[in-house]
Amino acid sequence: MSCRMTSSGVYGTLQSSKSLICGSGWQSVVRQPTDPLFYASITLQNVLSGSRYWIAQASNLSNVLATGTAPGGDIVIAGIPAVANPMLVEVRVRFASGTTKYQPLTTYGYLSRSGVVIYVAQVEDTVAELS
Amino acid sequence: MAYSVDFASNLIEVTFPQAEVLAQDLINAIRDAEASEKGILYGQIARASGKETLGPSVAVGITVELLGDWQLHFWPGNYIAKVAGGNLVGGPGSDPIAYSAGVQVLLIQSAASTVIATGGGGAAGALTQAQEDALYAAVLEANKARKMLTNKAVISVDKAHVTVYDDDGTTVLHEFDISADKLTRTPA
Repeated sequence: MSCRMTSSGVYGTLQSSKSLICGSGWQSVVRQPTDPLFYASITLQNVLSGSRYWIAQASNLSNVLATGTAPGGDIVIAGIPAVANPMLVEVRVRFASGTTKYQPLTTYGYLSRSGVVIYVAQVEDTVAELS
Repeated sequence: MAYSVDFASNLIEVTFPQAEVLAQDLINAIRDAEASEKGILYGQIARASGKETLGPSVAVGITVELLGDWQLHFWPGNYIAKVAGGNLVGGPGSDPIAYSAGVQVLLIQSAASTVIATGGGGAAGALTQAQEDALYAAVLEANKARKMLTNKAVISVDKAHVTVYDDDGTTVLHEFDISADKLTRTPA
């Protein structure tokens, strides 16, 4: 039996609903609210080497999208699943391991199908010192 | 200086046997914790301000503001703790110190604190180190006086001794001998 996936109209654009044609019958596959609408990339620019970053969905901080340690310069994180269009993301960047500490940074950006580019302007912490 | 940050309870634990917290050490430890692998999962713990230069070797004092429900929590015990070297503010209901059984916390604050760089590279808050030491000693004395006046005191069976106990009711704070005529007490 051969099957063919079809999508059309508004539903096809939003990927909300797809129909699977199998032989003589139809089988409907409904997108769950938790399924991603699309995948896109997040670019963090100007991140200090050694900084720790953390990215999550702003409206649901338990949905952590990416985390890691910056190698320096720009970081491109591809394949981030978006459950809204656009999806507001919260980005935290912290760096306290060097001789100079930086203030904790929290910023936001809208992730769309074309991705999002976030410029990270870390500010030196003039109060904290090396432990 | 030893601190342990409990992210689940929003507490910065001051670990045994440390009984004095300096604002500079505290903010250093907080920044380290915030940037740790676990800390970045949580929001910012504190803001810090100060240290703007006022002149040669003189700067504005440090203020550490604990955000949200974060508090400083001393290890439980019978002692007086001290927070110095700057202002510590914030916390739930503007109370930056969490309750610890048996601990009295001396929070030294000033609306016009300064940092004075010394030859040894140390820093002080609104008061000089000598003033802080004198104040700390005065608090200790006042605390002991309160205990002597109000705490549990037990007269021995032979009525020859009096024992005054600490706040916990079991630790001996002071002992007196009572004269034979029962009119005079002298420290044992």
